[in-house]
Order: sequence, then C-alpha cells, then structure tokens
Amino acid sequence: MRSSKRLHRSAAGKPARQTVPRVPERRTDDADVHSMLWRSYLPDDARSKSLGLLKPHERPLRSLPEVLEKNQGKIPKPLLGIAVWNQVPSVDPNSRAPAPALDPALEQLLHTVLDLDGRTACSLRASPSYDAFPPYPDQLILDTRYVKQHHGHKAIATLEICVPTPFDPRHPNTDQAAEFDRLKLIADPRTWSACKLFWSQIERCDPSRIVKQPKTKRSINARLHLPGEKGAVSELVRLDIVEFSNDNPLRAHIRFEIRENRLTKLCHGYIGVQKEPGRPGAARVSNRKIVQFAPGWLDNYAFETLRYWLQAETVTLIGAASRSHRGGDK
Amino acid sequence: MNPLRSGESWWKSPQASLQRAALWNPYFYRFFGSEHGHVQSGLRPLSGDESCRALSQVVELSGGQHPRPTMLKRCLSRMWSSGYRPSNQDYDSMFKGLASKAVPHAATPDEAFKALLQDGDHNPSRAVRPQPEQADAMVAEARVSRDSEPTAVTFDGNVWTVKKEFLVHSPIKGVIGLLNPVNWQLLTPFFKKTQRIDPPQNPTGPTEPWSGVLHEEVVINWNTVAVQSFDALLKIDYTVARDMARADYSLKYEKDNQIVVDDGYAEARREASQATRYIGYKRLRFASSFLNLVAPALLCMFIEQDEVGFRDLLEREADAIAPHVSAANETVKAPKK
Repeated sequence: MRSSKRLHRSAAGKPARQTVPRVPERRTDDADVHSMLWRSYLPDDARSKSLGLLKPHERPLRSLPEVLEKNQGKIPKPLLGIAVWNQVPSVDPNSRAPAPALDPALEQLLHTVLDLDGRTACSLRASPSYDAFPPYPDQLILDTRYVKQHHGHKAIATLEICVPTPFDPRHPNTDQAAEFDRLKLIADPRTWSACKLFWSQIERCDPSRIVKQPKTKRSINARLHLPGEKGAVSELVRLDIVEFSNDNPLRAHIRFEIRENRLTKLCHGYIGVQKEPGRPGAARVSNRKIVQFAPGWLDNYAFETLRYWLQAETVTLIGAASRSHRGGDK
Repeated sequence: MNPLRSGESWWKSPQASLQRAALWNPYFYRFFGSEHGHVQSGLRPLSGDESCRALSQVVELSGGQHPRPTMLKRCLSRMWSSGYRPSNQDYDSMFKGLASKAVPHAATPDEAFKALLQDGDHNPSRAVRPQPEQADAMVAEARVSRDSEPTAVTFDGNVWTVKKEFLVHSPIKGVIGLLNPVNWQLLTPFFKKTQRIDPPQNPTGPTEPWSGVLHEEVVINWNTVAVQSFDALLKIDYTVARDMARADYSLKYEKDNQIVVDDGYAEARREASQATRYIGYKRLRFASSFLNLVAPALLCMFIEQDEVGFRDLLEREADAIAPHVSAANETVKAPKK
C-alpha cells in the first residue's frame, strides 16, 4: 500500500504527513482514579513501587485499601467493587484453617461497597463464579467468564458477562426489548465515552480529509487513556472499524483495530452483545482484545492491564446503557 | 386451510391420546430395546401390535384418513426401525393398510410399505458415523444439502440436552407464525394448551415479537391407560426479524414441581425464498428419577415431532398463514403453585 493513502492534504494542497498530536499526561482526578484502580491488579512488588505515584499528601498512606477507602467518593461504585475484590485473598470454604487477617480498611470497604464481611468475602473469592466480578449487592450478574492467553508478544483476553435485562433491579418493569436495544449500543464506539476512564473525544473522522479511504472501512478518532508508570497517559488514536452490525434484534457486534500509537503497538478488539439463547431476559456481553502494549510498564504487566481494561470498560458501558433512558440517574 | 387453526381441535380429540400413546412406543423401544420387564406395568408403553391397533383406531375415528399423514408415516417407519414386526397375518395387513394411508400416492400396499422403509433408511435420527477421511469442504457441503440433521442428545452430568436442525420447504413467514410460543399447541400433539398469561393491551399477530409468560399444559400418554401431564409457566422471549426469528423459553415453575430444568429455544432462519432452516434446542431435567431415565427418548420424541408438525402443516398445506391473534390475547389465570 502506498503511503500517500494515509496522508492528509494541507491547505496548500500539498500532502502533509498525518500526525497524532501528543497530549500531556492527565493529572486530573480521573488519572488518579485510573492509577489507583490499575494498581489493584498489579502484583505486590509492582504495587509497592507504584505507591510513589501518589500525590504528596497521599504518600503517608501505607496500603492500597487505605488509598481506595480515602478516595472512594471519586471512584465509580462498580469499579471500586472490583478494586476491593482484587485485594481479597481466596480461602477454600471447606478449609479448617483460620481466615487470614484482612487490612481494617479492606474490611471496612468490603462492608461499605459489597455488604460482605471479610470471612464470607474470602470464601466467595474462591468460587469460579466470582472470579471476574464481585457479588454486587444491588446488581445481578448471571455468570461471567474470563479467558486469557498469549501469542508471542500479544496478550489476548476475553471477558464475557451475562446480565439480566433490565440490568438495574430497581427498574424491573422496564421494557425488555427496549432495554436490550439500549444494551446493543455498547457495540457502537460513539457510546464509549461513557467509559471516560479509557475513552474520550470520540468522533468520526472527516471523510473529506482522508484520501481514498475505502468506503466499507470507517474510522474514528478517539482519545485513549491508559494507566502508566507516571499516572495515566493518553493518546489520540485512530480506530478503524473492520466490521459492525447492529440491525439484528438478537445481536450486535463490532470488530476494530487501533492503529499503532504511543501506547499500543497493536490492538484488535471485538465487542458483542447478544440475547442469551434459551434464557429469556438475559443478554451476554463479550469483550475481547488482542493487544501488544508499547514497551514499558504496560507491556510488563500486559495481562493485568488488559484485565483491568476489559473489566472496567465492560461494567461501565453496561451500567451507562442501562441508565441512558432514565437520564443518567445513578 | 389455515394451519394455525387446523391442528387445534384434533389434538384435543380422543384419538389424539391414542396417537400420543402410539408415538411413545417406537421412541421407547429405540432407546431401551424390546426388553421392558423392569418398567412399572402402568408406565409400560404399548407393544408394537397394540400401537398398530391404536393407529388403526385413530384412522378409523378420523373418518378413514389420518389428519397428520407425515406423523403417521414417521411413526410407522420408526416402529419398523425399532424392531417391530407384526406378530400375525392380521397385524401384518393392518400395518400395510396403515402404510398405504401414510403414503397415499403409492399404487399398492407393498409399494407404500417400500416407501415407508425408505423413509426409515433416511431417518435422520439414525446413528450417523462421522467420516474423518472426508475433506472438510465436502462435509460442509453435505451438511448444507441435508434436509434434516441427526437428533443429538447429550448429558452433561446434570441435565439432558437435545438439538435438532432441519430444513422446512416453506417461506419463513409461515414458520415464524408456528414458532410463536402461543402456537406451539398446533405443532405437536403434546401441548394441550399454550397460552400467554400476560396479554398485551393491543392485539398482536403471530409474527410480532413479545416477551412475557406462557402457560403450557403438556400431556404424555405412556400407553392407552396411563397419562402424565405437566402444568408449567414459562418465561418467553420471542424475537422476530426480517430473515429470522427465535423463541427463547425457560421454566418459571411447574405446578407439581415435576420439572427442575426446562429451557431452550426454537430458531428459524431464512435459507432461500422457499426454504427455512429450523434449529430446536432444549435442556430438561425432571424431579423424578424414572422420568430422567426415559428423558432422552422423550426429548427425541418431542423435538422430532416439531419437524413432523412443520412438514404436515406447511409443506402439505398450500394456503398462507392468516393472522391469528386470539391465542396471544386471551387472558388466563396462572395455575396455583
């Protein structure tokens, strides 16, 4: 392929190399939340190193649960639930060994966020049903599955989550078909800005600016935010839609590729939503990504980062789709 | 003739019980062989000769013609392939007489009998051995061209599952109408009632999607004496698109707690202008250990009768389906648990 296809034309009519402007790393609340949540996925040694990333007034805090507890107002509840769940050790419920002593801050968070005591949480953590998501007290998850594998330098992971429609039990009389239609919007990238931790500034590329772009392949410009060594980092990325379908009343899906950028050398994604066969009133959301992160912390902890990305994106988008028709009430 | 109305009265007639009892015979013997001494006498299926007589009565009570010729043909061919041979000359001529009713275009009873055996040879539920030496493309081609896939029954250690795929030589519109759960009672003889209990405010047609609760009454005649019925409420999600439709269902509860698991789906996809692919999938677990023992045979009987129902109602009837709204909008009370 000739490189000229990727060029924009300048005002003078001369080809100008298309550049993705670099943006400063975010030092906002979102960036801090990003950093805190990501650290909940990292192994202990990496986490202790990353504690240095906190703002100066947070340095005296000793543990991640304390950080989470202090900042719980800033973190969306479902994501806080996952971060807390990541800290809970799993204990075989049939074991006679005494339950491990939990950090008091973690005990408090478990009680506040998940309405669980430490001992129950540890035994539930051992159940495969609660591997990907904790038992949220106010939201029912029918089942989940998380599968990961690596292929060369690429990390591959799939998260599946089966949820009831309507998802929010506070609104049981919501029209089931309409609720599923809203859930299908998850496959539309224009709704991804609801997951503001990872996505913002999502907009269709101006077709007139792109030379000889294939009609079947639409592209989207978006700002991708990923956690990093020095807090969250963001990058304006070009997302090429390989396949998109949302006109089937049973399912919707998107396949896309993110062009190489400062954060990811390669990223192929799939998000699918479908009515669960043989389970009226249930829908399954599948989120799959094949990623090769840029060298550095992200690449060193590729699977941890990918799991965080998939979980946070999925649960946030489902919650946003469920709330969308009620004017975004929380 | 409107297929959405044609079957309703017949399934409630006395001869339908005979038909159901006769149907259970070949399925039981196919799965469990001819030795049935361990089965409780009340639940013992009809013998081959008794089934033959029951089917003759069905024909006689129906005015000399079986109202569902495909059902009769499949029933006879399955009886034959499950090992039934008439015990004397009377039953032999009775069987051949039934064969000529089942294959009306045959010139002689012998010709009809041959056609019946041929149908048995093409019986999709016969064991099909995988042929690994065949190239994948050839296997794929064979799958596409086959009208009916073998019935697959599996057991995952807890629940029985059955899957059936076949081609209906009819436009998708007619198939979708019968796929609507409120019309299941027209498709197979086992449904005494399939009625929506939360009807919508405005009338809906048979091809309009809906989600809600269905009250179904299912009857199984183990023989001409013993009858078992199930009175269940099912959660339904019936989705319709231009080229496909799917009815998902799952058990809310059965009145007498006889069923533990009952869920699945029926799906229809447009394959060509005059061809529709049907996929039926069902998971089942009874509370009774005896019923779980016979569950694979029961499931096969249930799902294979779907195929027979579609062929009888759509491939034999030329008329298009007219809108049928009454069943979807009648109000009935949920059975007390």
